[in-house]
Amino acid sequence: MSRATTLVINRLTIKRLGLWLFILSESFLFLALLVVRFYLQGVQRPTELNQPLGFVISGILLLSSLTAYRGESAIAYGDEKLFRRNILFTLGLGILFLVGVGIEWAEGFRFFPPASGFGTVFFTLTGFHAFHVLTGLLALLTLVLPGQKGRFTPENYWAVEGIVKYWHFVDVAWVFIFPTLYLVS
Amino acid sequence: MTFWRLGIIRGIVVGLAGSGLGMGVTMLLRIALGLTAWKAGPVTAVGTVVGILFYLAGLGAFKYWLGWVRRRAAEEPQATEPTQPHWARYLSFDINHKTIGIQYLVTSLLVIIVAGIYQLIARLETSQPGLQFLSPNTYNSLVSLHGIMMLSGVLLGIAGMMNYLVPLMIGARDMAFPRLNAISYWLTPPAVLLFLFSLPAGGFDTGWTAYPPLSLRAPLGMQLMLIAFYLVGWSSILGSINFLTTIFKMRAPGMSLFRMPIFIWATIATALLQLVFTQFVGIAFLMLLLERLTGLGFFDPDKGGNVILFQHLFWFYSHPAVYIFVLPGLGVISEVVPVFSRKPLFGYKAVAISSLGIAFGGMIVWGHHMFAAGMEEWLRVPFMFTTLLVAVPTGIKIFSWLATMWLGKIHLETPMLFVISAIVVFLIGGIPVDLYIHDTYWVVAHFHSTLFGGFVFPMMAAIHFWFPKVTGRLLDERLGKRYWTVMTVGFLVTYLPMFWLGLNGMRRRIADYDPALGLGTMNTVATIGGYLTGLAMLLFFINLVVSARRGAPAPANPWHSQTLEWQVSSPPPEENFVTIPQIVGSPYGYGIPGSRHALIPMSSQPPEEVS
Amino acid sequence: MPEPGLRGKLRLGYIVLGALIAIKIAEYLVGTTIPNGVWPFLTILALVGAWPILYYFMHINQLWHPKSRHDE
Ligand code: HEM
Repeated sequence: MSRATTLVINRLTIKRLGLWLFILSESFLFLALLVVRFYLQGVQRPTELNQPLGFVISGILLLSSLTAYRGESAIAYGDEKLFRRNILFTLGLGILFLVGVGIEWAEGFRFFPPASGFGTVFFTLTGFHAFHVLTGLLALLTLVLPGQKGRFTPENYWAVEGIVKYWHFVDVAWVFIFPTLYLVS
Repeated sequence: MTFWRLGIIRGIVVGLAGSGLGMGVTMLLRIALGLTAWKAGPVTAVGTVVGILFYLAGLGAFKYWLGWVRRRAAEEPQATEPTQPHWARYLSFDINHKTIGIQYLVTSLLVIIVAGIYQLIARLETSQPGLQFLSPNTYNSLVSLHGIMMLSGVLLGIAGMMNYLVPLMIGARDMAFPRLNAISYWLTPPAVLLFLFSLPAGGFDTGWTAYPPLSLRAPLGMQLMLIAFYLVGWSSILGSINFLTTIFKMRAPGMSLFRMPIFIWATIATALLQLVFTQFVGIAFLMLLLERLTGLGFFDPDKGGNVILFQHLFWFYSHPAVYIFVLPGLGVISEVVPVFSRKPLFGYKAVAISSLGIAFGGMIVWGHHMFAAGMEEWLRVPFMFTTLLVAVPTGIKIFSWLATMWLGKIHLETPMLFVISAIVVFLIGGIPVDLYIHDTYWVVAHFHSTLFGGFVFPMMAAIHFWFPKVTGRLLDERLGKRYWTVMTVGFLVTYLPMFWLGLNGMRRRIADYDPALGLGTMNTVATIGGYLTGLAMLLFFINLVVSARRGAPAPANPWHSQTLEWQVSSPPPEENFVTIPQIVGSPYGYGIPGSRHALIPMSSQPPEEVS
Repeated sequence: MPEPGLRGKLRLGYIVLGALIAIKIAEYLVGTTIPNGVWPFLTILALVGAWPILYYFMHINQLWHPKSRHDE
C-alpha cells in the first residue's frame, strides 16, 4: 500500500471514530430524556394517544433507513443513479415522518397539552427527536443537490457514509422512543 | 480594511445584526398571534440563539462546509492574512491547536478574574454581621455568578491546557478535527458575554446549582446564565470528541498506551466523563429554559412535574464534574514532579490506570450528593462505599508523587513550589463532609480546597512550567516565587477560617448573620485572605505580561524534560514536528543512563539525553 | 442491473428491513393487547430491534475491524 493510501485510510478511521463518539454522546441525551419520561410519568399513557399513527410513522422511518442503506451501498459500487434515487426516497420518507409527527402534535394539543404531565414528556421527546430528523434531512439534502453530481466515488464517499450513519442513529433513537411513548402501560 | 478582516469583529457585527433580526421576527410573530410584542424571556431567547448562529457564520466558522456544499475548491482557509500583525490570529477563526489553546487559556483567566472580583465584592458584605451595602438578592446573585463562572473558567482552563499539550505530547501535527476544535472554542466568548450581562439583567439568586422552583421564578439573568452554561457544555462535548479521537488515532509511531505521558491518560479520563455526562446538565438546563419559556411542566408538581428530577439530572453531571475539574490538574502534577525530582515517576502504570479508575468511580458516586435531598434509605450504603472507591485511585496518585520526590534531587523552582502547594491543599480538601455540616462554610472551604488543590495550583504550576515553551521567553523566577508565597498564604488565610466558621454554624449563601454567634472576626480574616489572593493574581499578571515582552529568551528545553513538547523549538514550529518523531521509551526515564523517550530524525536539535 | 456484489447487499437490506418490521409488529401487538406490565418485553424488543440497524446498516464493527477503506 502506498503512503498516500495509508493516510487516506487513517483519515477515514479518524472520522469514523469521531462520528461514533458524537453518536455515543447523543445517545446519552436521549437516554436522559427516556429516564425523564419514566421518572415523571411512570408507565402511564393517555388513551387518546394515536397508536396506529405512531406505528405507521415508525414504519416510515424504518423504511427510510433501508433506502439510506441502499443509497450508501450503491455509491460504494459506483452506481450513482441508484444512489441519488435512494437518497431522494429517504428525503421524502423523512418529510413524511415529520408530517406524521405534525399530525400527532395537533392531536396532542387537544388531548394532552404541553403544560400537562404526559404532554410535557411527549412534546419534549418527540420535539428533540424531530429536531434531529430535521438536521438529518438538511444534511441528506446536501448530498443530492444538483451541483454534487459525480462527486462521490467508491474511493471517496465519506460524506455519504457519515450522513447516512447519522440518519440511522436518528432511527435507532426512535426505535426506543416509540415503545416508550406509545406502547408501555 | 484590516480591521474588518479580524474574525471577531465580523462575528460581533454580524451576530448583533442576527440577534436584532431574531428579536424582530419574534416580536412580529407575537403580534401576529395577538400577544404583546415585548416579553423579555422568549424575545431575548430567540435573539440570543439566532445571534449566536449569525456570529459563528460571521466569524467564518461555516466557511469550509459551505464551500464544500457549493463545491468550491477545498483550499485550507487562511484565518489571517500575512500582512496582519501576529496577534490577529488570536482574534480570528484560526485552526491551529496552539492558537486555540492560548485562546482558551486567556479566556479562562479573564473569566476567573471577573468571577473572583464578584466574590471579593460579596466578601466585603459578609466580613461583618448586618447588611452593609448589598441586598440579600444581589449578594446571592454575586455568589451564584462567582460559582458558575469559576466552574466555566475551570472548564475553559483545562480545555486550554489539553489543546496546547495533547498534540505536542503525542507527536501529532494538530488535533483530529481542527475546524471543530476552533468551533468548540468560539462557542465560549458568547457564553462569557452572557454571563457578564446576567447581573445587569437582574442576576439570579439560586446559587450556581440553579435548583427549581427558585430558578423558575428568577429574573432574566437566570435565562442568560442557562444559555451560557449550555454553550460551555457543548464546547466541552465537542472538545472531548476531538481529544479522544486525536489520542486514539494520531499518536506518533512507537507510542504505545503505556508510553504516553500521564497528562494524556488524564485527558482520556476527563474527556470520557465530559463526553457522556455533560449531556445531563445540558438537558437539565434546557428543561429549565423550556419550562420558563413555554410552560412545560417538568419541575412543577401542579403540572405533573417533580423538582427532585432536576437534582438527579444535575448531579448526574456535577458529581463526575468534580473529577473533570481535578483530573487534568492531577495529570499536570504527575508531569512536573519527576522533572523537578530528577527521578522516574513512581508506579507509572498504577498512576495511569488510576486516572481511569477515578473516572469510572466518579460515574457511580453521584448519589452521595443526594444525602441531603431525600434519597432512598437503602441506596445510601452502596453510595458511601463507592465514594471510598474513588479515594483509592486518588491515594495511589498521591503516594506515587511522594515516592517520586523521596530521595530525589528536588529543584524548588516555581512550578515545583506550586505542585507542592497543590498536593497539600488537595489533601486538606480530602477532609470529609458530614451530613450535619451540609450547607455551612465547612462545605465551602472543603470544595475550594479541592478546586484549588486540583485545579488552581496545578494550573499555575502548568503556566509557570510551559510558559517558556509557549512564548519562547522565561518567566521572572523571583517574582514567580513571591507570587507563590502570597498565593499560598492567601489561600490558607481565606479557607482555614472558613472551616472554623462552618463548624461554628456559619451558613452558606447568606448576606447577613447573627452577631451573637461571634463569627465577625473570623469572617474579617477570611475576607483579608481573599484580598491577599487577589493581590497575588495581580503579581501573576504583571509577571506574565512583563516576561512575555521582555523576559530572557528561553532555550528549547529549560527544565531538561524528556517529554516530546520540549524536544522542539520554543515556541514550537507551526506544524509542531517537521518530521514525525519515533517513540522509543518511557517519558520519565530521569536519572537512568541512556534513557530516551523519543528520537526525532533530521531535526535541528537532537533530543536531549538526560541523566 | 446492479452488479452482483451490490445486488447481494441490496438483498441483505430487504432481509434486515423485514426483520425490523416483524419486530415492530410484535412490539405493537404486545403494546396494544396486553394491558400492563409489558415494559420488560418492550425493552428487549427495542434492544433486539436496534442491533440490526447498528450492525448491518451502521457497520458498527468497522470500529474494531478497520481493515479496508469501505468494507462491510
Ligand atoms: C479569591 C478566591 C476565592 C474566594 C475568596 C472565594 C470565596 C467564596 C465564598 C466565600 C463562597 C461562598 C459564598 C456564600 O455561600 O455565601 C464561594 C462560593 C463558591 N466558589 Fe469561591 N472563592 C474563591 C475562588 C474560587 C475558585 C477559584 C473557584 C473554582 C475554581 C470557586 C468556586 C466557587 C463555587 C462553585 C462556589 C459556590 C457558589 C454557590 O454557592 O452557588 N471559588 N467562594
